[in-house]
Amino acid sequence: MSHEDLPIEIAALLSAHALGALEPDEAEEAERLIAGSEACREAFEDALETAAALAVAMADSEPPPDLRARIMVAVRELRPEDESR
Amino acid sequence: MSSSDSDPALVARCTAGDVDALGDLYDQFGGRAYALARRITGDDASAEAVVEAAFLDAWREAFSFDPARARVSAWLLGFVHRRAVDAVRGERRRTAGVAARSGALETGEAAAAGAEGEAVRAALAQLEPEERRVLELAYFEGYTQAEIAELLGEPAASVASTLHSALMTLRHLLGSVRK
Repeated sequence: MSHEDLPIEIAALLSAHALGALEPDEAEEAERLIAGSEACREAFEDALETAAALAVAMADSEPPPDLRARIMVAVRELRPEDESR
Repeated sequence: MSSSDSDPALVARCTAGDVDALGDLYDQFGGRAYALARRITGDDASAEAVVEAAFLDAWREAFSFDPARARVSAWLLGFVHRRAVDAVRGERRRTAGVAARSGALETGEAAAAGAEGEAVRAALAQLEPEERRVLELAYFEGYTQAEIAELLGEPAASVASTLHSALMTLRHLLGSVRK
């Protein structure tokens, strides 16, 4: 079945979840639906991609110059065992 | 359009433990990540912390990326969005502040120049003002549907329905330009 055919309340719940707009108990329900149904998963991923277009299309802001280095240090600290590569 | 053929390969290299690949992802998307984080948190220091946490999330979750299901830009900015919303909700709980800031979607300020920014701007212009308003409050201000209903004095079900129709209209309008 296509995710176009989902009941409107379910589709709306998944849209709101993609926007991060659910309360914790509602978000849990949405996650259960996504895990249990292919149609729900597809609807959620579609909504997520659409929501992200709002961010993807944003104008860049110049981050502080040292942020990149801080992230690189932090990620190396996550994986100290890889330092010998 | 920012995604290129090499983006999914960068994520795959992260999965393999290649730290430089995360640096390349940062070079490509760090500016947008920071813009989004700053837009949501309204604060430079919080935005930095959000971007750092989000890139570490992406590093840890790189294995879960499926190029058939999402663009790298959308996937990565999803981590930024979640971290930023968490930060702003935590801040709101501390200060009990519920006043919404000015609406970037109303003015088109949120969208960049360039083809994709233009497409998003044009699509937003076709939404009902009420749809733009709830989308703004949810995505860029980090309010839940229940909080938006309270802010606007509307039934939660009506906010849920407006939010859904806003997103579906955007999906319809943007779907034609994406592929």
